[in-house]
Amino acid sequence: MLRAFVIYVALITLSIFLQGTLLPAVNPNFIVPDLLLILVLIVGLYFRSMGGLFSALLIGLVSDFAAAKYMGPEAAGSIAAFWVVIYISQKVYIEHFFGLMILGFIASFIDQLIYIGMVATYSAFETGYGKLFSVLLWQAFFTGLLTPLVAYLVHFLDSKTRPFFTEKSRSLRSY
Amino acid sequence: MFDFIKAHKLFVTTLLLFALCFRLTALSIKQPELSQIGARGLGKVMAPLEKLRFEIFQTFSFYWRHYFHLVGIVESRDRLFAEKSSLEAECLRLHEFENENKRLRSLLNFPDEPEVRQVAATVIGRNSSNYTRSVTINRGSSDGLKPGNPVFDGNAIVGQVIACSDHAAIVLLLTDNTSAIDALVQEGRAPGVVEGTMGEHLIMRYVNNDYTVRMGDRVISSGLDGIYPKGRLIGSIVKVEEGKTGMFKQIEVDSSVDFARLENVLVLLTAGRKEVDDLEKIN
Repeated sequence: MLRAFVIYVALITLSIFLQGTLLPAVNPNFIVPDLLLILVLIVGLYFRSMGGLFSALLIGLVSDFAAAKYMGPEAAGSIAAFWVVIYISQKVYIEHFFGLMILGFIASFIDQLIYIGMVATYSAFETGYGKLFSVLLWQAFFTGLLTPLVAYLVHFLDSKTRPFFTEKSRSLRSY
Repeated sequence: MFDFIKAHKLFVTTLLLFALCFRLTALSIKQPELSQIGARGLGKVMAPLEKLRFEIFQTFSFYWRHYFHLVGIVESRDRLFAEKSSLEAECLRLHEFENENKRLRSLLNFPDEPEVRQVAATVIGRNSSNYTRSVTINRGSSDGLKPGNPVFDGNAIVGQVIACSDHAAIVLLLTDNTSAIDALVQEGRAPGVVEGTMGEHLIMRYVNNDYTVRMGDRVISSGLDGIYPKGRLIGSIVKVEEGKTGMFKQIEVDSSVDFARLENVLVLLTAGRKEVDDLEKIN
């Protein structure tokens, strides 16, 4: 358990570091994949429990802190992404590269919709819908692209925890 | 009821957490200092890592630029020498204007310009979210920075500090969709508000249709918002649309700062804030 905790804290730190430094340098348009959200997806795959839910909340809050603008919308998006993973992984077999990619895309899409929705509830989003939709799609695309790689990296680092998708038979109602 | 909660505790907890997130968002919009608490803590952890990456990058960059990438350096030197002599003449002329300006101000009993204290900083990180336009700089509260300090690239406005840890600060850029500056079109003196759009261009709103505004006109800060001093460059106008139904023009402004290549900035510690601080004390 301690090993998993240390690995996840290190991965969260590395994700914020990469998102704030190297990735924007690689991508001049500033649209960077949401690495923290990928960690939420992995938490959703590994830990479908109260602990997983609070971990998703925590990762979302860290994401909010990193942006330093609002506190809450990224956290809400993370919780939504956590449930997307639980739902989709029970309905569809996703234990392969493209499955994880699509899961990453959908979860990132939902996460951003929640973020935009929450911010727009309280303050005006002056950006045009075209621009907003383009950011949303590109971020979801890049996040989906990186999801399998990060998932395999975590599985490699943390192989002592239970493997992916062991609870496919459990019904969503039990949550 | 209790059995339902017990049977669906994960789902019920999720709903409660969603409600908590909504509440936190509302609170952090009303009280921005709330989101700065977390940013300060995170800054303490991330700033040393970002500085380390910056130092490594700078070392490589230094060796590349000084020992390998020397093509065209002679032409560049000759050009700079020519520019230097013309700038020296310009500087002399401006120095004379400055002295004349001081004399005239004292004759008219104009109050002296407030003393400006500024700190140079280097950009060591960028925004981690695609919905925020911000950069991290290597100066923090130990250097006298505090939220609200304006940040410049030369004379052009970059944005303002929104959160500080001891040795790093987050600067919200002008292009962020929550940024706004009270502005003037330099040529026609048309007042308006320049807002970020998250895109490449800024939008200038509330410019009355009666004012004449042309493409290429420069937009400067008006100094009325209490954050940015008057006369600092925001950008130049690239598109003007007459408001057909409303009272105002729709103006697109191209910022004078290349945000993608921003490396060094200046943070103003005093100017513009003094009057606001004094008023806040009185209130």
